[in-house]
Amino acid sequence: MTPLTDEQVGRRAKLLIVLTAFLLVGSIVFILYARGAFESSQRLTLITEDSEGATVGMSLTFAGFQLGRVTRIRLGEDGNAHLEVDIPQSEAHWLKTSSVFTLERNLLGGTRLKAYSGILDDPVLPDGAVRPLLRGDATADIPRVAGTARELLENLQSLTGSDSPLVRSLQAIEVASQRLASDRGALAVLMGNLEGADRLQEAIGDLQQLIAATNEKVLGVGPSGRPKSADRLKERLTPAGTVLSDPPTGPPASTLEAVNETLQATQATLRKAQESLTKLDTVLEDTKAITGNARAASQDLEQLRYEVETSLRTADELMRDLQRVWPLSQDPEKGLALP
Amino acid sequence: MIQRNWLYQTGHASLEMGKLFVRMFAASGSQKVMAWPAIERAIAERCLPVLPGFLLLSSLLSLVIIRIVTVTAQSYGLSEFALEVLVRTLVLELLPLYSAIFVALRISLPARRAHSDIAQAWAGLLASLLFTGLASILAAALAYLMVYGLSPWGLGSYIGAVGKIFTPAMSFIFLMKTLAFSLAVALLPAGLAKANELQAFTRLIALLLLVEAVSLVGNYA
Repeated sequence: MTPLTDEQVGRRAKLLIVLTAFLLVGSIVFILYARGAFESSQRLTLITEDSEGATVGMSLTFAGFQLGRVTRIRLGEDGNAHLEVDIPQSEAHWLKTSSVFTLERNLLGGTRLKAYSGILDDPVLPDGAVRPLLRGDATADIPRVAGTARELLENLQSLTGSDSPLVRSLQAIEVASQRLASDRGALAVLMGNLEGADRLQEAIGDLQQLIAATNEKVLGVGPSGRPKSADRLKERLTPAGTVLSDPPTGPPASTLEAVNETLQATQATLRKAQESLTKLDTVLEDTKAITGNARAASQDLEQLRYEVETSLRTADELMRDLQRVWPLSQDPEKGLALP
Repeated sequence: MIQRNWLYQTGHASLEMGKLFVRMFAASGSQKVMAWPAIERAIAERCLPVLPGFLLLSSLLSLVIIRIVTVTAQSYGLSEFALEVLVRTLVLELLPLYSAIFVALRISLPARRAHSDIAQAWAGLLASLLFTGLASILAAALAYLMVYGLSPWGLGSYIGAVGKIFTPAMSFIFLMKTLAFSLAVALLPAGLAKANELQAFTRLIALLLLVEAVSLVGNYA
């Protein structure tokens, strides 16, 4: 590097010195300008009960734009805080006589001083104006909110406590759902306990068996779509009935054979009736076991009995007539005994 | 023993620095005329060559910090505070300290035995003031560009925000701190004529941190 000439050195050194001086002075001027020192401004005094959060130097904004700056906060003779705001003349026309000023405290971030001008046609705010400052405090509601929240939490606690009605209801629902999920299903829920459900199921099973047995024994067939027992009995007894409908007219020899056949037929019919009766006996024994739920079946059985009785009476009358017209056996007590 | 030695050295260095300070400002007119060419030469030969490197480094440092602060502020939804944080940390605290260290390491300390001490002191003082000013303006401009881009419409609110930060007290302390840094950098070689490199660097850092601590107390306490 070649050494610089004296002239070069002098020029460069002076350049640096001038640059430094310019920077120093320029910075000071810039800061003064940034702080609004070169602008003619007008004074606005805002009065509020509580200036908490307000600081000297904070901005007064209008629609988000800075209008002015708080230059002084003092406690006035009236016990209120007086915020003195300097507003540059160039911006002052945004503030009207009807403008409203608010001091808003936020949970996060600084306090904000805002101006709202609703009617822009109103006259401009004069210099040295005094206006009330409204407070909008986001933290003012916190004690009330906290109190309500605590109440709510207490209610919730009593609601969810181990002996609360809600928990008891939930436990009952759980027991019911367990019973629903068990083998007995909804029956266990309806009966209240498992034993009751078991008994009901047994009763239903018994009833089914009973109905099946009744069908089998009375009708001799399976369970569905069969003629009634009375009809079948009538069918069986009808040949004897037709015989009885003919009045006896002494013992003519020609009819002896016919009577004999008739008697045989009657005997067979009666034997069948006897068999039916023995079956009925067992049916009746079974019927005794029927519970109150089986009344419909027992009504049928009563009708059946009535019809059987009627048939028996008819048969009895037939026998008596036979004894009277056919003196082969003098003793009716001996039963039906043919020679 | 060590403490007595340390005390002696510190006292001696302070005395030498005081002597240099007096000679810098209280020299008679004829001496000043004698010293002026040497001062000019020191300024031109020592300050100018390191200026581009310094500007490059300081803008790189500023960009990194600006990027970190703006991205962090954005992720928390606090972008409006990013510029204020940047001006406070970068312009007010970090860059003056960085400039002083840079000037001391590149201009003052290496030539502490070579040049005329008064010329060297003036060069250091001027370099420290100039570099601090340039770095601060560069950082402020970079911060604006990073936040607003090339749009001129943020200028008004940005100037307002800067004006809000530089209250009279803050501005005065900033000015005093910068002057103190510059004087420390300028006078330090006189007190460290016999010290080795490591001792010189340690003492430089200690002195600058002392000034920084005092300014922080003044600003925020």
